[in-house]
Amino acid sequence: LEIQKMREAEEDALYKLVFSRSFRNFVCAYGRKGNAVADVLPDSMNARHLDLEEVERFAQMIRHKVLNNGGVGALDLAATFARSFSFLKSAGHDQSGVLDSFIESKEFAECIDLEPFGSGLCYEESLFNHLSHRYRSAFATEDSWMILNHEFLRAVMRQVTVAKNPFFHIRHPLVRKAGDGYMALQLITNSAWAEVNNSRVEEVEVGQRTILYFGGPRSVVGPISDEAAELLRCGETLVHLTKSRRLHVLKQMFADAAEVERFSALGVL
Amino acid sequence: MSNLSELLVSLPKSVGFGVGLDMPWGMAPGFIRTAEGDTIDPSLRAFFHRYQDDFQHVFFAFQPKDRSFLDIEYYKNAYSAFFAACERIPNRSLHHTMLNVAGGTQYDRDELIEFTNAIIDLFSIKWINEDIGIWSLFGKALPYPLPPILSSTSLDSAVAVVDMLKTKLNAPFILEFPGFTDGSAVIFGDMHAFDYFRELAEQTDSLVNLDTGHIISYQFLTGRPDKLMVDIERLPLDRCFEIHLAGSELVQGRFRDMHHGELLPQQFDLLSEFLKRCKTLRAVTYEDPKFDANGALLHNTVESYNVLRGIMTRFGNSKNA
Repeated sequence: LEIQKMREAEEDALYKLVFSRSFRNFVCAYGRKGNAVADVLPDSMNARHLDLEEVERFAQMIRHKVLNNGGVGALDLAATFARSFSFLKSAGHDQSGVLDSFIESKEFAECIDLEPFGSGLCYEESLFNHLSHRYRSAFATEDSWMILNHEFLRAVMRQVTVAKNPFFHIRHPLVRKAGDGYMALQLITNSAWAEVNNSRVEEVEVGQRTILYFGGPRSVVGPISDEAAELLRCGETLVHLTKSRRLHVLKQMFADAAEVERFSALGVL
Repeated sequence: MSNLSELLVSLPKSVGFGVGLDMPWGMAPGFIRTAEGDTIDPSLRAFFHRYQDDFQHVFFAFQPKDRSFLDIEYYKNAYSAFFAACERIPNRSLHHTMLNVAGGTQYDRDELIEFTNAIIDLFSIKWINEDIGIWSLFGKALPYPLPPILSSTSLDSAVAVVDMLKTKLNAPFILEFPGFTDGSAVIFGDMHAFDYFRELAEQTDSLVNLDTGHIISYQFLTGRPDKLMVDIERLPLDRCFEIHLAGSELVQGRFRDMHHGELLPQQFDLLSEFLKRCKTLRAVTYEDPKFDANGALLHNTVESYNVLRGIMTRFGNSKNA
């Protein structure tokens, strides 16, 4: 038991040194005051010879990987949240500072990377949660807040489509399980929708529309009619019914039976 | 018969020259997706067409395709294409990257082992190899594996993981000495890395893989760039089954494990020493050759390849004489 505790202390210290800039700074400052760094790190890690610059270089590699790795699973948070990062920048938060705060956050502690075991959130959901909580004021306008939501939902649906059986949990209230995939509806202003689609904002009509996000056997992201959105919302309240019963009820409620069949075939209902 | 002798029974009987490849998804020379399904990059197919008769064994390094659960059906076509392209190479191994021997014991690896065993069984893999390092920390993959914490508690933990792997894997697990490349590795702990590695091999009664670049990187990082042979008797030379040689270079007095195909003279020096001293050696592997779209080795790597192949040919001839 004693050995196990020591091992866990080593792992914990290593995790903090690699992932937490504030902890590295603390260790550094602690050592500079003439204290034995071994007091804050396990003796067995040989903290006397710890090269914090080396650790810092390694930590920077990790930050770079988290932000820019476009490899496995197309994890590329900089591109996924491009517009959101630009809002953050205009509010005075540079990308590297935001990422540092993310890596040290409890949201980052909840996410899990490439290993297909255990449970955790995906990076996209973890970063979205962090931005929503820590940097809410940077998304000051209704449009910027919607765009943050949009970038998150689009990223999650893309991941769900890539990974038929994602090993991470999607537990955000905006997203629900739908058939073989996941679904979300979002009300978005026309100007915000135009911005994420690189349209000229001044040319779009004032108002808002509903966007359907569906990731599963087929991935769908785009505007839908108010009636179709209502149909999906009704379907959401009927998930306790068997599929055939649900479709029967919805066909009774909506005049356009073909629309019910279309969403059913897609897997959303 | 000791466990070591038992292990060697299922492995090649003589020392062979082989090739190992990192196989990223979606970029040359790795696995690619086509309308007909997953396969290998055409340049790799061309490389095997030219050179496969030079080799007695081949491995690829595992990389996950995406963030799905591991499922052999999802990988089978790509791996079949890989081994079909080098079908005349008699022995196959797998370089794993997720066993994470030094990354702690506190999680369940059963799904990973089930997936690995499916690869072993489906493709007649003769041995599994992985650097003894920290490939992930609490579920977060690192960009480059960290060496283990060089302490007795970390060693005990690694022993437990290797013992478990030996029990559950359907092929022998070969321990590879980890890399200590300057700038992408940090050292923690009081133990000498060679002692840590030897202890791990002895306590688990395992065969080992000595990567020449990794050993040189440790000598450099511990301030002995001119004394590469110092302390090598502390390595488990009597358990060495495989030697790896991957392209490396010295940049401003620092060692870099580049995997770019160009070998350093120091790597050949170490190889010569190991060839003399390692009685259980069966495999010498050139890692990550660099070739063009037609599969021809790049001009700046041809010399390294020819020197290495020449050493192995002479070594084979001397054994047969």
